[in-house]
Amino acid sequence: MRVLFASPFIPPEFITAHGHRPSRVLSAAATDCHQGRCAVAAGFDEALVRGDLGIVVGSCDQMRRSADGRVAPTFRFHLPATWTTANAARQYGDELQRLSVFLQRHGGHAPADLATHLLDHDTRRARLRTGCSLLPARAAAEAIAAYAVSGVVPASDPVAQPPDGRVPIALLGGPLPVAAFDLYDLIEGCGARVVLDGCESGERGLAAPCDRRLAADDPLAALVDSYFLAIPDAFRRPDSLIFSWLERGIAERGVRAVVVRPDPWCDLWRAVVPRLHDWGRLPVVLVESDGESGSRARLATRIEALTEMLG
Amino acid sequence: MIALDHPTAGVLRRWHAAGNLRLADLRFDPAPECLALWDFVLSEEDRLRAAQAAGGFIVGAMKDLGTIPVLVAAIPRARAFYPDGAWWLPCLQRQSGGQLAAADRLGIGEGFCPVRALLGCYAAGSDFPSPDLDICAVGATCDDFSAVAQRLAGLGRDPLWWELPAFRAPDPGEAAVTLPNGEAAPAVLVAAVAAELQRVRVALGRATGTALDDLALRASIRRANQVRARVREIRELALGAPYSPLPAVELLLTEILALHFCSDLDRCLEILDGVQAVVADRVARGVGHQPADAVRVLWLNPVADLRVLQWLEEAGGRLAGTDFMTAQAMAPISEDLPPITALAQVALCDRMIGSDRRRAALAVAEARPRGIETVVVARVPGASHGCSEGPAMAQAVATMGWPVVSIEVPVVADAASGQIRGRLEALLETALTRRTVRP
Amino acid sequence: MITAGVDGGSRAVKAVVVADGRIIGRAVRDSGPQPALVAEACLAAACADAGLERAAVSRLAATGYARAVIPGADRRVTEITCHARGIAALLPGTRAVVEVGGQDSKVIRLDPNGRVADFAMNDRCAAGTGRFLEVVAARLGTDLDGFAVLAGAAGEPAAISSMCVVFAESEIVGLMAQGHAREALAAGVVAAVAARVAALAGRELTGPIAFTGGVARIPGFADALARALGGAVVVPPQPQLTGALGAALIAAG
Repeated sequence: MRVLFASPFIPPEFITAHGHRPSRVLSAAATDCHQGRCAVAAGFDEALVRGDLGIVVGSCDQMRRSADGRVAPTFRFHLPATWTTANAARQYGDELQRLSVFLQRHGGHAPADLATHLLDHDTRRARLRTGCSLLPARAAAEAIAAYAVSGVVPASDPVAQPPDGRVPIALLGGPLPVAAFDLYDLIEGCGARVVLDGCESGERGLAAPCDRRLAADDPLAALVDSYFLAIPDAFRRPDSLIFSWLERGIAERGVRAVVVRPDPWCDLWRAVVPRLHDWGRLPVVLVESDGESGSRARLATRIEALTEMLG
Repeated sequence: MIALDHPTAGVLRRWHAAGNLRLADLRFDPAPECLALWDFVLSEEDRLRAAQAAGGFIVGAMKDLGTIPVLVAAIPRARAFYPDGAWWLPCLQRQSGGQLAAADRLGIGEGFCPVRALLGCYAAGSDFPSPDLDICAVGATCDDFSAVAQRLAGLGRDPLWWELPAFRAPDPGEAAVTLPNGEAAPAVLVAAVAAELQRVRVALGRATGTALDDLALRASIRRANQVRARVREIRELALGAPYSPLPAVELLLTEILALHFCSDLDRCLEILDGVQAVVADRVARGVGHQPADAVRVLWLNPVADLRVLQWLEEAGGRLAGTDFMTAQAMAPISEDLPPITALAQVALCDRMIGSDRRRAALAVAEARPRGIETVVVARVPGASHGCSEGPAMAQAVATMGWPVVSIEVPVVADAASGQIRGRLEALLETALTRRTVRP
Repeated sequence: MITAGVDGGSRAVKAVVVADGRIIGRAVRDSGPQPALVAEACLAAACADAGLERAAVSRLAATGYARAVIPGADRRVTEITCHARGIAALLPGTRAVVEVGGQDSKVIRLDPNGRVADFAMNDRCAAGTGRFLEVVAARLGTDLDGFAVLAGAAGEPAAISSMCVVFAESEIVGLMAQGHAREALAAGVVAAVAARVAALAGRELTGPIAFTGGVARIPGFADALARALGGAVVVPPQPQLTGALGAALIAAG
């Protein structure tokens, strides 16, 4: 069966090992959301149809509190906000075990060759990372999205992008729906270039390379390491992974500024902005886009001002 | 009901003069016991500062709403309070305290719920003493709080984060336990919370230099249960009696006492005994502050601006059911189980850590026997959970046909008074109309 | 060299003609539905004010929301950069610029050389922008110019607690019903918007602070801003022209 989820913390290889087809939802709601309703959470509900299985990851209010009454069997995955304790890692592992039972109950089988699946996806992601490092930002995001939705790494023969004078920036935020990928174009049109994609749908949402020996010995532990202990996010407490990840981006890719794009109703990502200001390592610009007329112009003004400042 | 200028309200005038300007707009139950309740709630800062000055250990517990203070109360020289309780101060002080403006300056603006006021308090050192230890429950607690707490951590605090996982029903075939509220919960979930509370217990012992043994914890649980039982008794009388014997605001204050005893458990019990005596006496005499035919309302969520509850009463409504986010603090804590397990079980009674549907169902099930006629969902401005509470409640009561109204209650609601009062009055009119057409 | 800057804002278009760094012509027009035409007319008026033909302008820079559609511009630059450049020329040594625009409010930090070091802008909410003031002005039965007169005449400002446009409108209606004078309400709104803009600045805003843009002409606004920011605020002459001046100077290279 197709198993839909909207969080990067759900390992697709784990679902594959149970005989199901994992697919991450990267679309916002097509219909208008009433005030305060997250378009991504609503988009997940729209994408889930009868015959699917769903996994709702409770890392934010809207996903967590809306988990009942969907059209398809839905598993509620509690993703701990804490992550520095043994209890938290154990809870994540326990949730994977419980997910396993759910997947088996709904047409799947006991996990078979989990280590093999894990290593296979690790290889795919490595290929993806290498390719993305050479692709323009939008093409890289599209490749990551294709992998997230279907597990397939698009074939490409990218060549390294020569420096083009654009200001290298990090883009940070929650999931960027595929329909909103023209943001990458807009940023480039304003004289900047995303060299570190910190959207949930971008490379920030990719699991870390796995410890191959651990994957063979204890694949569940390897999943905990690669996913739970590695992916930075705004909901995590403490939130220090975001900053260490950005620090690496500065060192390795010459990131000179951060553009934060929270969903309009997302408190968690909005609150990262003052944290980044306090951090003080890079200029920070907040951009919000909710499809209202004029929002593109407002967004362009902010990014152009940033490039003028750094140019 | 009396106003601030009534001769017997002298104790409240003192608090008004101290900056709690909103008191001038409120009405109060004239019973001395109820005025003492107000005085007790408003004087908490003084108690906390005195305790700290005397060498006491002050714990800022946040968002678990009812559990951590029981742990802390087991340590003789420690006291817990809820910094997130500062959310009503901007209203009480009519914004004169500047807490929200300070939060604005820290980048946590109006898009966040009024809990952000705590940032202003910490930044200015106002309204409560700087805690010796901050303990923040995250996980299934709301995003606004999580964001605010992380901002607080960024100001140089080093909170102890602990995980309060989302509530879920047991999976088929999964080992389950029955919680004090009657719900079944997976045993593994209780164990996970217990493991986290154990971590808090160890940290508290280390920070205070007092190992928290089971004996002390059991004693603390016994005393907390006395408070909880008293609050439940008052609440049952207040919500169920034919003539409403306790005004809505005083009921809300009573429920708040169950959270952390306003940092003085013994005095808290005395206050509650007094309120209970008043309420019981009124019930026995068949008197109340509202007529017997007042429309019976289930009210969801506490309000920052207490005046809004009084608008409901002035319009002819009365509370017959509440979910002020305090259910877990009123649930009896088992005195038979290992203490940490018992606390884990009550922590999971928190209706805010599950789905909206679960919360609505629990609130309705509890209130239904009291003849509820309408529901008010008071949305907390900026709260990320606000958008789905109204629809969930409407769905939960659809078969009963109770009209539901959802209102956003600003920190100071005067600006929206016409809109809010209009909606409340329309709701009550609708309920009265339904009485006449009911078969 | 004679250069010009046109600032196509959401409420007004401003044009400045500069010769050797000195303003020699200026003009202001209300924005209309066709900002390109208004911009051309405004530039022509500024040239006329300088006693020049349009052809005498050797380079033109456009800024503001309409910058992309202003015809004939050699450069198109955001208003953040232009306000910074303009204030660096008008008030050297300034370390921060506050501008309350029709759609956006901005707090711009400058480095010691007058270059933009960092900036912050409001979110998509209209609170703290000129648009908010327009809505309030309409509720008070006047326009922005009338609002400025009211605000300048007030004694004690009324307390406005809500910065949501919708709630603020309701609140003002309620306060008017209670008998509060329009002047006091206007002054109250000024104080509330100033506090909102100050919050944009965050905790620390040091050094001389300049207040630019058309809203800076409202009597008492700079004082309210100074109170909210906790430091002196200077309004340059003709503050609404700062962005256009900056553009003209940038056009000169």
